[in-house]
Order: sequence, then structure tokens, then C-alpha cells
Amino acid sequence: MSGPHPFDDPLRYERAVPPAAVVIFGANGDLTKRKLLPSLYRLAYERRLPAGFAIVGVSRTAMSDEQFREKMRESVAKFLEDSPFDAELWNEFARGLFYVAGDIADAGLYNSIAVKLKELDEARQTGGNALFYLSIQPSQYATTVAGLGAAGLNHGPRPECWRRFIIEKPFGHDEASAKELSRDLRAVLDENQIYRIDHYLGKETVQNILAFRFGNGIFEPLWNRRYVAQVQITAAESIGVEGRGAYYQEAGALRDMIQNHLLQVMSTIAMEPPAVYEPTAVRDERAKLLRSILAVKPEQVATHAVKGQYGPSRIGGAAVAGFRQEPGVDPQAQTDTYAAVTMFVENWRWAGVPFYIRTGKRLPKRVTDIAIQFNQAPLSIFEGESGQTWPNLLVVRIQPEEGISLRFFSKLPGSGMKLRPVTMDFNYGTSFGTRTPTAYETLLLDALEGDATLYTRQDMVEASWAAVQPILNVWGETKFDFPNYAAGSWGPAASEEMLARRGHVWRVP
Amino acid sequence: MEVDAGRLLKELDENWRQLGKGEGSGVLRACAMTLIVLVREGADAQELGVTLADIMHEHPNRTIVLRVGEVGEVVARANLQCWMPFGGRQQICCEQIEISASLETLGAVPPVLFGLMVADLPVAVWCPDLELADLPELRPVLKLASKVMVDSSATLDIREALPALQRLSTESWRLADLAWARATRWRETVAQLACTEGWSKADEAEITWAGEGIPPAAAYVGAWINPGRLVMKCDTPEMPAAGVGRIKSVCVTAKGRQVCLRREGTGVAIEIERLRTGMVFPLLTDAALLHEELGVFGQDSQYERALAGVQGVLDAGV
Ligand SMILES: NC(=O)c1ccc[n+]([C@@H]2O[C@H](COP(=O)([O-])OP(=O)(O)OC[C@H]3O[C@@H](n4cnc5c(N)ncnc54)[C@H](OP(=O)(O)O)[C@@H]3O)[C@@H](O)[C@H]2O)c1
Repeated sequence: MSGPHPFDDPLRYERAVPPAAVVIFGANGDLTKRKLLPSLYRLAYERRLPAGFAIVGVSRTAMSDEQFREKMRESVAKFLEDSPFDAELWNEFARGLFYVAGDIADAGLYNSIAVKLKELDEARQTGGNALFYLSIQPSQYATTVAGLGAAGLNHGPRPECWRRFIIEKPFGHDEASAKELSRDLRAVLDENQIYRIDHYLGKETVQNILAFRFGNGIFEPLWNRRYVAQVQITAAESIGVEGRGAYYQEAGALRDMIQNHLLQVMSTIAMEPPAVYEPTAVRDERAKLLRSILAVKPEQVATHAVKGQYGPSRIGGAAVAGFRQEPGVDPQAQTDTYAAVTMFVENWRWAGVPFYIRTGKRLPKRVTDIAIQFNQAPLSIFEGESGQTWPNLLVVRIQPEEGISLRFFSKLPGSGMKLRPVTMDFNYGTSFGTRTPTAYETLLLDALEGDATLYTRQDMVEASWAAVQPILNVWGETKFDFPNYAAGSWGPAASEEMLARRGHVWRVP
Repeated sequence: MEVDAGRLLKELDENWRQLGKGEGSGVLRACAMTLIVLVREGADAQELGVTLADIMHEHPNRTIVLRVGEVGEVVARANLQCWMPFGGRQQICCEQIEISASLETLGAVPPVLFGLMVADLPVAVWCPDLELADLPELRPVLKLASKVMVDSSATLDIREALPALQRLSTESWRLADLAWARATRWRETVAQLACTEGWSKADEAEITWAGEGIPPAAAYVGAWINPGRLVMKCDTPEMPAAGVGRIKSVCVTAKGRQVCLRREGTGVAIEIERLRTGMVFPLLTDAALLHEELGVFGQDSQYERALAGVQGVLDAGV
């Protein structure tokens, strides 16, 4: 990124995005229609896209440009989040939409794409820049990248042109396959061309954690083992696998949520302040934190991790199927639909502070939050207060209602010094009524601008696999007696026991 | 009748207490600043109410509306403005105080305002009427604020507004003009194109507009682009529909290439050599413009430079 431009006015508008073509592999798929096109359209609505801009959809189904545009119009109108659909703007936007049909296994496809990009460079003035979005199955990444490389599409037509590649999670299904995927990608691409998307990092509230920690002077002094007793990270879903049983069966909660999203959230909460807010500095600190996570020894897995799977239940009068009864799921499946782990960070700031992370499906409600529990006051001087365990708690809510709340003691009105816990609440949505951009909007724009701050780097991917791999290994060799929690409950009893060993309890979010 | 800040605040407290007692799922008190709104006695109360309610959502504040009339005592009343956010469970409420005063009694108002300002939060003044803002009697009120927002676009020609803008820009507060915010979308698009084209200065620019007189927004854009040669001219004497803005086109040339933005209905067509694309500019409402201005509290060097450059644009001959 170059220095400030005389026409820039950062107080009023964002920097210009360079002209580019976005090539989406898997353009006929679910992610494209639900997230990618609505986000790109919304960026056009916000006037964030450059005048020289085009989108090329790629997948096998035969379609004309017109048919693709029509299909995308329906998807955008349907999946656009809290913003209006403007027909006039759509027509303008659709003129920059193109489609190339082909199979990624076919070398001819890449030549067709190369021809199309050359044409657009001229006709739509895309500046020879291209952002490739691999919205396809991870098993297809290597073939696609190799095909792009063979056709010379990993380099622009002129030296000043860039080529960037966004890939979707999962980045491997274990430590070894993550390294293998990286080798395949790196055979063709430089690390700085690869944008590994973790949409959690694009969420406004996750970014807000950095603002909260490093924009204020009063929290950081407390942010360490001297004042923090424990940290709890919860990502609960009330829904089940919603027809994705076959996929989920292979992944499980630890791989699907903790290895990537929640460890990234943990790194955001626990990392050291970067010297500057700049991609390399921020990612270095995140990576350093992830590498400091103490690997669980095989013999510790039983006490540091809990695997769960939901069974059938009745919720609000309606019968809910257990995981093994879901369509496409093996009736003997050993999949974790719930996972809880205890992690420790080995550095001066956090040594000895447990980070409890839990996630699961079919839990009582949909909520993602982080709770930082501070030490008790050293002495209770007020009568009746002893025995009350309500230490100060700072909760960062990621969803559904983004915000921050602080719990502290206050005096009950009336005579005597009776205390009661109260919360002080900051609600992001009600304090700033403006619509916040979705994670995909933020991340797509960042990639177009060449800002990788919120993208995952290979060393981060490997460090987070290293943190969960010992657990996966032991779980893979153990036969569990499932189901072990009822749909609609807060997970298996063993999870409570895991915390009880340190005298802690899970909070009810 | 004597107006007492303490009594007004007590009234507000009582309102909050009543609201808290009511059935339902709670009330959220939101406040990020004090906003003092200065209007003439005859200003359309309903239109103003809609604008203020609109900006409340994004900039919750304690609003103090000061109506300035020809004659009359100082009178005041306080109440709460509440709304339920879409899909929300809690009502959000903000405080609103209305004060009426005449030019003779204005002197009694600043001490009341002092008592009414929310502690530790910024104070902004919005006075859409430039002539009113420029009245010496109102200087003590403006002095309470760190930011004073006027709107010169009601003055159809920048030449009439410029002296007042210059006077107001040398005081202790930061001056903002909603006419500058009216030009933001044009500037943003020019900046994007210039960045893509790799221009750091323009050789030539031509700006056209609708309606008689040089619109302040057009003059600002001319001063901001600051090209080697500037052409400014009226395109049609007909005034545009409300909210569209008077600028009709902005064309910039540099390094032998030209980019043009032309108003077409609610949108803008962009021409870069052979490429033609377009975008939609949002309608300019007072609420949208205020929202933009309230997002800028520090020094606004781009505006300051543009205001300083307007005289040069006029001197170069239009
Ligand atoms: N969906 C989500 O919400 C979501 C969330 C997070 C991550 N992801 C990740 O995003 C990626 C895409 O997910 P998705 O749900 O959109 O998948 P999907 O619905 O299966 O879409 C993939 C598309 O790729 C095309 N395709 C498949 N094989 C192809 C081939 N050999 N050559 C060319 N095109 C081919 C298919 O269209 P044709 O039949 O026309 O070829 C298909 O529509 C995956 O990596 C997934 O893990 C998705």
C-alpha cells in the first residue's frame, strides 16, 4: 500500500480500491449465492468498488452470461442482509458479471479464463489485476491452483498487476494435511498471494476486541495472570446439523469451530499489542500467541478435553432428533457435536490462567461470547457478602447482540451494606445505529486492497492444528459412549467436571 | 418566567423514573453528546423533529432546540424521545429540551445551556440558517460547542455566503458546512478515479450545475480539485428535485486522459475514455448530512483548505 493520496479524505470516505476482476470458482454453489455475490453487490451499493471492475463466475453447469446474471439477481435479492435491493444499481452491477463454464480438472478451462481476463482488462479496464476466490471443496484446491499456475494465471500480464487467491476453510483436516495443502499451494503461489479466509476474524466485534484492548488505557494493565482468574469462550448453536450431516460427520466440532474460529478469537483476546496496526505486525502477534498454547499431552486429554454428541430430546413440546438420527449420518457415528477444551498459554502474561473453550450444536441458545473473569476482591469487608461468588466479569459478546458488559457489585438500596451483582452494558447496535458490514464484505474488500491483516497465515494455521492435534489423536483411538447430552442442554456432564477440577463453573451465557 | 437548568434536569429525571416503572422489558439510556439546534421561531417543527429523530439512532444525544423569535420571554420544557429498535427488546430513549427566546432575551440563555450540557461529552451546534448563525447575539451560544454546523446551500450563490462562512471559521470552534458534505460523494468518486489513474493533481476540471448562482457545493469541489485550469458554469437554470443536489457534472483531465461524472436521475454516469459505468448516489437529507458531519469531530483539514480556496475559484472568474 502506498502513502496518502492528495485526493484522499479518510475522515469522510475510504481509500480507493484498485481496479480488478474477481474470479469465483464454485459460482454455482451455496457460498457464492448466499454470501459472496450479496457482499460484492453491497460493496457496489456503498460505492466501494472501483469503476474498472468485473466478476467472472466459474463452475461446470452450462450457463450464458445472461442466465448467470439472472440467477445471481435472484440470490442477491434474497440473501442481501439488512439493506435494500436497488434495481437500477443491479443493472449497472450485472453488466460487469460474466460466466465461464468448465471443469477444474480440465486444462482448457484455465485458458478460457485467461482469454476472458484479457478481454476484461480491455473492455472493463480491470487493470490486469485478479482476485481468485476458491469457493469449491478443499480437495479441489490443489488441482485448481496447479491449473491456474500451468496457464500462467498466477502472474499478471504486466509487472505492476497483482494476483491474489482466497481459499476457504478447512485448511486441512489435521496437522499433516494442512502442511500438505500448504505445499501444494506454495508450489505455485507465494505466501503473500494466499488469503486464507476465517470469517470470524472479519466480524466487526472481533475487530472491536482490538479497539477495546488497545484503544483504551484502562483495561490492558488488568489483562494478565495477576488479575484474570480464567477466560471462557463459548460458541453455542441451537440448531442441529441442518442437512449438512454427511459433511459434519467427517469434521466435528473441534475441527469445525475450535481449531480455526475459536482459537483465532482466543489469539485476539490474548495476543500482545502489536507495534502498529499493520498486517505483518498483527499476524505476527497472533501467530506468536497460537504458538504459545501449551500442547496437551496424550495422558492429559481425558482431563483437558470433553467430547460430546447430542441425543434425541423434546424441546418446547417438539421432538428433536439425535445426531445419529439425522439424515446422512452413520447411526454409530463417533462425531463430536460438542467439544470443550482447557488451554493454557505459556508466556509471562498468561501462565497458569485456564482458557476454557466450548462449542456445540443443539445447545439451549445461539450465542458466541468471551468472558474474562477477574480475581475476587482479596478481602470481604461487608457483612453478608462472604460466600457470594460473583467476581468481576467482563463479557465481550460477538453474537447475537454485539456488545460488552461488565459485572460488578453494587449496594442494595436501603439500610445496611448488602451487595448485589449488577451489570453495566454497552450495546454496539444501539449505541451506533448504523448497519455494520458483514464479515464477507470486510474481507473481500481487504483482499482487493491487499490488506491481509484479518486473514490467516500458514504459520497460524499450523500452530492452531498443533494445539488440537493431540486431542484429535486420542479421540480418534477412543470409542465413546454416545449420545452423552440431550439436545437443548448445555452439553455433557463431563464438561462441568472438567472445570470443577479447578474449582470453576461454566457460566450461563 | 425564570428558566432553571436544575428544574429541567429534574423533569427529565422524573420522566426516566416514570418510564422505568412502566411495564415491559427495560429502557436504555443512550447519550454520546449534547446537540444544540438553533432555529428561527417559524421553522417547521415537524420537519425538524423528523431529522432529529433520525440522527438520534446513530448519534444518541441530549438535544437542546433553541428557537429564536423577535420578542418574548425565555421558556423551556423537557421530554424524552423513545423508540424501539427493529427486532429489539429494549426501548432506547434520548432527552430533548426546547427553549424559546428572543434576540433581547438571548443573553439569559447561555448560563441555562451550561447547566444542561451533558458532562464530559462533546457539544455540537447545528444552525442550518447561516444568517442566524452569524448573529453576534448568538456568539456566546456557539462558543459552548467544539463543532458548529451550518448549511450554506440555502444561499443560492456562494458569493453571498462566503463572508459569513469566513467569519465563522476563525473562532474557537470548528466550522462545518453541510454544503461540503453535499459534495462528498462527488469527491469520493473523483478520488477513486484519480487514484486508479495514478493522478496526484489535475490539469483541468469543468464543473456544471443546475439553478442560478454558484452552488456552494460546486465551488467547494472546484477549490478541492484545485486544477491548473478550472471551468465553472451553469448547465440549466432549472432547480433539481429535492435531495439530488445541484452539481450536474464534474470532468477532470490529467496526463492526457479525462474522466467525467454526470448526474443522471438519482444516479451518476461515469465515463473513462470508452468505459461507461454508473453508480447510485444516496439522496441528500439533512439527517444523512448531519450523520456524516457528526462522524468528524477533529480537525477537518480538507474542508479548511477548500473553504480557503473558494475565493481563488471566484477570482479566477466563473
Ligand atoms: N456454504 C457455506 O456457507 C460455507 C461456509 C464456510 C465455508 N465454506 C466453504 O466454501 C467452499 C464452497 O462451499 P459451498 O457450500 O458453496 O459448496 P457447494 O455448494 O458444493 O458449491 C461448490 C460449487 O462448485 C462447483 N463445482 C463442483 N465441482 C466442480 C468442478 N469439478 N469444476 C468446476 N466447478 C465445480 C459446483 O457447481 P457446478 O455443479 O455447476 O459445477 C458447486 O455449485 C467450501 O470449501 C466450503 O468448505 C462454505
